[in-house]
Amino acid sequence: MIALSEDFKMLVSQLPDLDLEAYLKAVEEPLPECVRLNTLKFREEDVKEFMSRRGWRLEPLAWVRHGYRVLEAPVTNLGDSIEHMLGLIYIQGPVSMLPVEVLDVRAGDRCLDLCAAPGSKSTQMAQLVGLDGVVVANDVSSKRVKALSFNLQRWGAVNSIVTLTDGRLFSRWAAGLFYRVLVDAPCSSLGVVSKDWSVLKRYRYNHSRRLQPLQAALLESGYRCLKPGGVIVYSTCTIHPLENEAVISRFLERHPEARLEEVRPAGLRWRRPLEEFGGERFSPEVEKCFKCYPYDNGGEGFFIAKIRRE
Amino acid sequence: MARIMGRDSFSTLSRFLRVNDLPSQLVFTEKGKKVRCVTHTALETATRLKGVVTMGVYAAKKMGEDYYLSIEGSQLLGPYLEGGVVEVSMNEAENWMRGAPIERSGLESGIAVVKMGWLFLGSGRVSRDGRIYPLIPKERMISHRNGKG
Ligand SMILES: C[S@@+](CC[C@H](N)C(=O)[O-])C[C@H]1O[C@@H](n2cnc3c(N)ncnc32)[C@H](O)[C@@H]1O
Repeated sequence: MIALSEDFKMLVSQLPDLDLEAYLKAVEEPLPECVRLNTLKFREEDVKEFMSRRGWRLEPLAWVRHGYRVLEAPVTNLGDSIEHMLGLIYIQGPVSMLPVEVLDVRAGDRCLDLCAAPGSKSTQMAQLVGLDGVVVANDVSSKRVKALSFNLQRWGAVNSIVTLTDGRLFSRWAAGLFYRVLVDAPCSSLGVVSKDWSVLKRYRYNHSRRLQPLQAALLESGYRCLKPGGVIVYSTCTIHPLENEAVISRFLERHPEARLEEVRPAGLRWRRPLEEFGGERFSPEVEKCFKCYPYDNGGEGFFIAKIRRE
Repeated sequence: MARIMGRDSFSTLSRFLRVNDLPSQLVFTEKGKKVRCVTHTALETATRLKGVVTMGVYAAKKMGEDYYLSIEGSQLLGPYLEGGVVEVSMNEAENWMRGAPIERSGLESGIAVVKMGWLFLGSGRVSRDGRIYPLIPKERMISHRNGKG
């Protein structure tokens, strides 16, 4: 039995579209094993051929380039494979690969990953921008920055820079510097509890309430780092509307010039974001965001907003 | 401060390196014994940022008169090496990744780069007994019991 905190039960009662039984059933299952192949250091065909010779069976994911579901592997622990150690693959949740795909990163782009550790999405950006682009991978935690540097090293990201700063201040020195910015914000993680059920027992409403101003400030700072015409993606792996719909709705109120773009990926089930929560009515624009619960795709629950700076 | 190495001095990384064929976007920087590889664009962007911890990847380290290449250094430079590379089998590659030496005869002592087909696996120290000992950090090695079953 998965234990739930009172605050989590309260949240569930406020989410008209959440099926608790399906949610709990989904999070009891481990996340499906998925990998991204490294096209920065190698040719995808070579990597695939090498892996197939060693007994891997992969199935492409429809919503992300270079992403695959692992059907069979020569090792029990993917992290203990030669492919992982030599940087041929990055082990990553299937839906977690979506935000960078939505960001529409192009070869040669100068990109910022404002909350980057441990680097799943920075490595993905690095392979898409190629040798003529650059990825700035920032995080505020010096401990997590070590893992970030390690993963960028393993990925061979010669086109990356790791910075250790508070993302809320980043626009003070980097305003207007980037074409693409990702804010994969710190959150209550209620969409990825398969990794750790105790999240549901420990969850307090106060977590979300305290995270919200931080998330809003990170989004604001990231937005200021954009060049006109540039794109920012805001994502979380939680299901709490206060950290998702509310952050975006309030941002749009402050920025009438910002344009929200629709996120409707092929091959993934999504649901409409809420129109209101806790007495707060959200901007009708928020409907364009992507939202899914863990049971929608047998993967992580995620929220993704794509905003263009006009 | 890291020092940017001139193109001419890249050849110090390996006397076998075809320097002129390397992708033009790459620059090497040297600080103490360590050499990093980074793109021009990243180097230029970093001058506009605060809190920079690292740029690009760690590619090589000086050991005596020679440089040995990190796994990424071997993967970046390997395709442009005209010698000093040892080809291994899948079995040998797996053992190498567990930290075991490779047996080869007739090698000069110094540094050798190891590869299996197109895949470079880092470099090692060639000892007098003709074995190549991997210079791979522990956290990049696979465990002894990996595999299914
Ligand atoms: C959801 S995780 C990011 C995961 C990462 N994008 C990935 O895909 O590997 C959120 C990160 O935000 C970082 N963070 C929290 N507060 C921050 C701040 N003020 N500035 C920058 N990063 C922050 C945390 O240290 C954490 O690593």
